[in-house]
Amino acid sequence: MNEVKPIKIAILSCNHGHGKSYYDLKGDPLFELVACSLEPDYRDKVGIEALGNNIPLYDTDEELYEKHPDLEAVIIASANIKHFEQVKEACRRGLHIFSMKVPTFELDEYDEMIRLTEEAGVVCQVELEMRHHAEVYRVREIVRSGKLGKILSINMLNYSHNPVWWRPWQCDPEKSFGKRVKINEESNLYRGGALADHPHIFDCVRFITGRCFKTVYAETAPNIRKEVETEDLVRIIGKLDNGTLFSLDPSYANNENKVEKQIHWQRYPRCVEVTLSIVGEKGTLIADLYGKAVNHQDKTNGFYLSAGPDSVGLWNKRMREFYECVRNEAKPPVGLREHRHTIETMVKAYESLSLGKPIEYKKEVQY
Amino acid sequence: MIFTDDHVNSVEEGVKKLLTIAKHPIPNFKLIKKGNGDFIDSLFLDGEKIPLSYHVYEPRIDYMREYAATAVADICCVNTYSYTGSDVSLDELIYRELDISEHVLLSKIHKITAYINDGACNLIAKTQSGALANLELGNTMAPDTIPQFSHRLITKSGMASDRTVNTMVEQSGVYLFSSQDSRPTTYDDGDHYLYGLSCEESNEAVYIYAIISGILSKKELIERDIHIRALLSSVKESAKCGKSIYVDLEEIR
Repeated sequence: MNEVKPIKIAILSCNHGHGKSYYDLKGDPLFELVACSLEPDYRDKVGIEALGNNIPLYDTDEELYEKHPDLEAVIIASANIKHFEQVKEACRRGLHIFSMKVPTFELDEYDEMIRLTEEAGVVCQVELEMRHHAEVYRVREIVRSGKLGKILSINMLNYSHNPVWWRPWQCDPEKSFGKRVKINEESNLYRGGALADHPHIFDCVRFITGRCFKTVYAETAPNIRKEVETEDLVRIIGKLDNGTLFSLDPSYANNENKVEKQIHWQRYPRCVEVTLSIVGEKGTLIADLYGKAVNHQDKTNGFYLSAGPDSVGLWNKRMREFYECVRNEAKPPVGLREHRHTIETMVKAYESLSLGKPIEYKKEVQY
Repeated sequence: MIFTDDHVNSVEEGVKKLLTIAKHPIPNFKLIKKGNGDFIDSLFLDGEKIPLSYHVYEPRIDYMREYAATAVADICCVNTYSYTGSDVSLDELIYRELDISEHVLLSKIHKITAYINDGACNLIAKTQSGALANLELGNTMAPDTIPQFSHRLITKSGMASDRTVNTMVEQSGVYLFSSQDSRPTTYDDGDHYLYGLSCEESNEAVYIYAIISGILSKKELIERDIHIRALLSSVKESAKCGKSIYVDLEEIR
């Protein structure tokens, strides 16, 4: 690597689930974490004490920008509804952007984000951490090798807990989906729950097969949690553009303790799961894409829990890639343009829920 | 006779042993293995042919049904993947998993949306209670491969699954690692009264015993088979026309 020039970076809002996983940048030689802005209602919910005393905190992005005019990049770690405005402002200021997994569900806004970032000439990398699991690459290699023959179906699940108790925006229809839209006429649920939080499996299917989605059909099961007004359990099936069947389950299927701060919240042993199976003409593949886990008991309450391999690691791979994109003009693993089809397919899944029938892409989509 | 470890050598022999233990008369019966156009085993008893859906008598499946039954209104869905060797037809696999789904969800399926692709089938089935059965099925593994499956029942008050967390493939009870071969020999034993039969054979023997002894109703099993076959037809119809199919039926628990 060439001589390292740390990128001056700030974290905006800090109330996205993954926001706190970037506090470690304060010790990363590739970055200089100059400041964070905090959503006022989340000040005591986002573990900000982990930042220590040396990182300035602001109640608004405007104040942060005013005090740090030499900023080079931002991590947009906010509720989905704020992303568009934050991207606009970052582009106006020429700041490179590290975006959370759902830029926006409003496709006109999404296209505007693409236009703004490309016009401003800034990097916009989308956080999709499954792209950093070796198992995903092994599966893709097996598929490409032909060992399974023609792929007949690819099926994935991404189960997790529901973070609504300590992060209410996650199940607020407007803040999560962007607007209040009923799942369908018969339901008392609104868009913006589990499906809105789990794009990874849509992306993985595309990454592994190299294909696009063609037909999408979705259904919801009764919610586990009666208190939330967005969907908990949802299943999507359909076909890719080459006729391969798919089945995706992005549900909040694993139970959690209803705590206001994210402490002792795990209830189901392995709170996040990502698994995959592929049926090919020549055989079947089954994979745990999260890899091997350590099982242990929580010392406070005795709950039996699992910790996945990315709980501990040497590399912050995502930010290392972001550094290369900003400093050395590398291409992001997933940029806004590439990610659009994933988001559009998730929107089509919601449309299928509304209409109660399969939804088909009318025009061919380029991967 | 009961307390020896003499091997039971066939399902029929196992049935007779269980009837003897229960001091029940042993009738004339015949086990008809699947084939000749039929995809499940049958029992010929008292002039009737009774389908043997012993897959629902698998102890873990039965446990999940009992778990669900403690709070029926709480049932949300059962999420299933089930992959077999090519010696199991896709029809048999769909039949089996639809039967298990209704058994565990304690409600009849009334709506099916399905996609089929040669050896693969994905479907969403909705029951009259509103719960979903989400099935991912395939039969492209080598013949006689140990079936790989996971049934995860989700309810508002908790979950139950026959796949332990962090496991991906079916476990055996006994693994023998020798000093000569890096691959273990595995043993899959069911019931110790039926020692010598595999888990699946044990389940079938127990199921037949339950029919002969009157624990299970022959009439209900025959009606159930007709119902599941109707669902199987609906799966194929949905896959053919690309739409959801509604099944006209009555709720029976």
